[in-house]
Amino acid sequence: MSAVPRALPLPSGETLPAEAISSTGSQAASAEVIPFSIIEEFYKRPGKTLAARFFGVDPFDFWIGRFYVGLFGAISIIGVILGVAFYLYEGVVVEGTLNILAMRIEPPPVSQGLNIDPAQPGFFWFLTMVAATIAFVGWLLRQIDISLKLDMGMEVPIAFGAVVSSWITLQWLRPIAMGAWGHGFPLGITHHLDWVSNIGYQYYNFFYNPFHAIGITLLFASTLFLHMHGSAVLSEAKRNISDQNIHVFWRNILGYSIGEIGIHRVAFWTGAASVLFSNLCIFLSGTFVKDWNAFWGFWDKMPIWNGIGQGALVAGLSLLGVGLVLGRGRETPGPIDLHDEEYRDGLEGTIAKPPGHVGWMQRLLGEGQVGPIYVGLWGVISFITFFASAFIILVDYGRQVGWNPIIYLREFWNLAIYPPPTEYGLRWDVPWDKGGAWLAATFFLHISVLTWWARLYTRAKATGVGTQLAWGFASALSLYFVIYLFHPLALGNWSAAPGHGFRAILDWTNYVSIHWGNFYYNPFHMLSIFFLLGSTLLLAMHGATIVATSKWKSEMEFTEMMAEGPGTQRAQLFWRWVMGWNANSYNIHIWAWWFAAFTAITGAIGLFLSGTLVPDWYAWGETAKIVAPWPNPDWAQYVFR
Amino acid sequence: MIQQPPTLFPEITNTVRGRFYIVAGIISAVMAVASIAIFWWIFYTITPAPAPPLQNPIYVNYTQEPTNYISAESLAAMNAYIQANPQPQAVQVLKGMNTAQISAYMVAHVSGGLKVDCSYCHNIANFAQQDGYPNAAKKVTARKMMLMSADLNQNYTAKLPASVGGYQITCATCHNGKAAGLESYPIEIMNTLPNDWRLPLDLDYPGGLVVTGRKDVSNHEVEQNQFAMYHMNVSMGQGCTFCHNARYFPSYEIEQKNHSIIMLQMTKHIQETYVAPGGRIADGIMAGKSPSCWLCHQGANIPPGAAKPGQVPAVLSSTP
Repeated sequence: MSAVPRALPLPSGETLPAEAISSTGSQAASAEVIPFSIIEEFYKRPGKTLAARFFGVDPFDFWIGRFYVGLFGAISIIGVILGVAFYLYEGVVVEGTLNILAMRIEPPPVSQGLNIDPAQPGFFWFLTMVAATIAFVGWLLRQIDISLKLDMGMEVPIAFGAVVSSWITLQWLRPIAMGAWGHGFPLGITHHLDWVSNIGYQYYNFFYNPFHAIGITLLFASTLFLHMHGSAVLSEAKRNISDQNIHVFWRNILGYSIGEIGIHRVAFWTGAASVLFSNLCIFLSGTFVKDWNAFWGFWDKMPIWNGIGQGALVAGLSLLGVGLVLGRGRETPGPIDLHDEEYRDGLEGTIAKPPGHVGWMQRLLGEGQVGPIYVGLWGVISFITFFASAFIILVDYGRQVGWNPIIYLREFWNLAIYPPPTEYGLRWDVPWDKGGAWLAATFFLHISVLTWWARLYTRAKATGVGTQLAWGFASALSLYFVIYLFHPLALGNWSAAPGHGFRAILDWTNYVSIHWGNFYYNPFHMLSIFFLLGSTLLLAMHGATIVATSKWKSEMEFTEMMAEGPGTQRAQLFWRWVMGWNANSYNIHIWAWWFAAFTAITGAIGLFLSGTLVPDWYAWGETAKIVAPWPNPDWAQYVFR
Repeated sequence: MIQQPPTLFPEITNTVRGRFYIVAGIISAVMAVASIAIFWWIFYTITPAPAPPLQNPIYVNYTQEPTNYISAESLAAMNAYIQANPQPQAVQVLKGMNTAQISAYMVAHVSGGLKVDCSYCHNIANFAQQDGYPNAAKKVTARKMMLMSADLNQNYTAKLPASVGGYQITCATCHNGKAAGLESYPIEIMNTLPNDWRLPLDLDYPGGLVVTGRKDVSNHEVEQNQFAMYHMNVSMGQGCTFCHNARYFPSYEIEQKNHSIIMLQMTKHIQETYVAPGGRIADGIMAGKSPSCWLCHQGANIPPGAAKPGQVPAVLSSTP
């Protein structure tokens, strides 16, 4: 538990009543509660905005109810009103539909280049796009204004700026680089999915676009971190325990507890990075890269596959090893107080004792202690079965390449062990090289993830924290078991499951969408993507807000739940002024937990229904009347000139 | 308790914050420049500079220079034969042409397409001789090949709409300057596919490759479909959207898809009629070589060895 004295730099120089501010939960229990509306009045002060700083006057520096207006708010609202009006005009008047799902706002034809002609189709796409750009940039500047007013860091506008940069990349940079507005992103609730389909397959196979892969990985990592953090806070909340319980829990599980500030910094970086990599993946497509499959030719052409290159690689790795060994001398393990749960010996005890202290992790994340890791019966089973699974997979790769280590490394991304072919159905007696290896590896993986769940559950009980993490992991397991067990069982053959290998998983994702008629029209896939991107958004918003207010220790959320300090007050006021409403340090983590959980649960439902109940999601979409009519497509955007 | 360093988070002053933004900005700029440089390095490693299309009155993007592969002796013999026999002596396929016209076709298309000397098929002492010389069998094969190109032009390329350009199949379209050992599958694509993979030539079109929404199709067949489609991507140098509206692959919204169906039907026809007629490869004229998209297209939307309209003799063309 932190006992850092709180500073109270209110904008007006006033101070809050002392009893409203406390640094520990125990004091908070006896503190008098001050309504948030009264606290808000202390912070509502004119001035400090960009316009006030640069021009000395800001005519819009006022609030309407909970909304802060500001010069840029006014500009944003104009952008929003015009954008919505242009969008609906094109949809309702020009396209003649009242079905907002199936509206289609196309950019001008590619043949028009970068010219804008009101007489040509696509003019209202351009106006909508310009209005939206004004609204987004205005919103960004408004967030800067509010951050300045509340003396916060600029992390929230930076994170939002990453998202705005995506819009700019899609609608301005890439079309300009490719020489026509026609290469822009069409608008429309289902129709934008059509563009995503077509762009993905125009460049041969977008799953092989490495920047796309990194972006998607970061989106899923964001969801994972959001879930882990939400669980961590919720499992501590409303219990008579301290932050130390959470630390011991995480060190038991992973050997590392990132700490309060660290998780919010990682959240901010991961959320923003996912968007920046996505920018790269779309900008390069069509400007520089045409065939993402052939792109990987660089891997086979790298000099490391010949003798000199390998020599250099071995020398480099040896140097790295020497450096690591020498670097160990700088580690300074501290004195240890052997707490029973954390330092007990034996099977139900811990390993990695004494814990290491990693300097760069301390500086980067605020927490440098690595270890101890809890062993435990469940952990041992989980580790061993995971190792068995990985061993089968990696050794079978070796068999496939005739035990040639160079080919093993060069073809590592392509190597996979596949489920038994269709003719074996759901049989277990499959020859090893025909899918028997896959069955064995997958069986061990099932045991591993189930015992990992048991480990999460039992360690939560043992360390006195809630079991939110275990139940959130169970939601992820629902998707895992649908992919590897229930969907193949329902379809009657193992071959419906993905192989174990990097390319095999990407290929399976492609095949399953093509086989069952475009997953973008699968409403549960839509929900899953909504929650996936929503998780990244929540993670970035929350992480950025906490980092931006961390000079008031707002990251000590367990404490803040009981008595909000000035950091948490600012964090809440920021979003109240930006959006008109706000979460608090408790319920933001409820949002977090459910968004992450629903990502996996809706994905699991969507996959399970594919091929069992619904064989063709596009045909379903047409029945449901959500497909945008597309009578005369300007196909020039989708073919190479 | 674990010993912690005493001051983890010193108060951040505005000076420190300003310095942080400057340093972070510089680092970001350096990393951005470095990643762009790495990208360019990879980009130039993997993409050879595109060659400008060859200007040729006969071919789309192919060149034939007779003196490189026809000996002076053969040329002289041919000219002497034209002088001696203004009208053809034993023509079976190239009817309706005089000897000079046939010779011009032979030099530009047959010899030019395979890059071989006249003596590859002919006895240059008597161009009309049918048998009794070492390469007589080649002449028989060459006739069958000409009839095949006539068959393909009249029954398949004739179905392509005029908007495609009226290109005709001729010797160079498949041979691309090689007499034998034609390349059905480029090495790059074979690196990314299992070795036993081939373009399926036993399916009925249209519809033969459709997998979407079919419960009787397994993931393995979807994979085979994707291999076939990727073969077309590489062969044509085009993405999937060249033929498909990718929001629904089975639909026929894009005109190009109909062209590819005609071409797939043609490929199947070649396999059944010229590679293994009656199921016997030994009866075929293609030395067991199965056709593929790559065989002719070689990475281009229009095969480089295709003849421009009006360049193929009327008897072999779809537009007589």
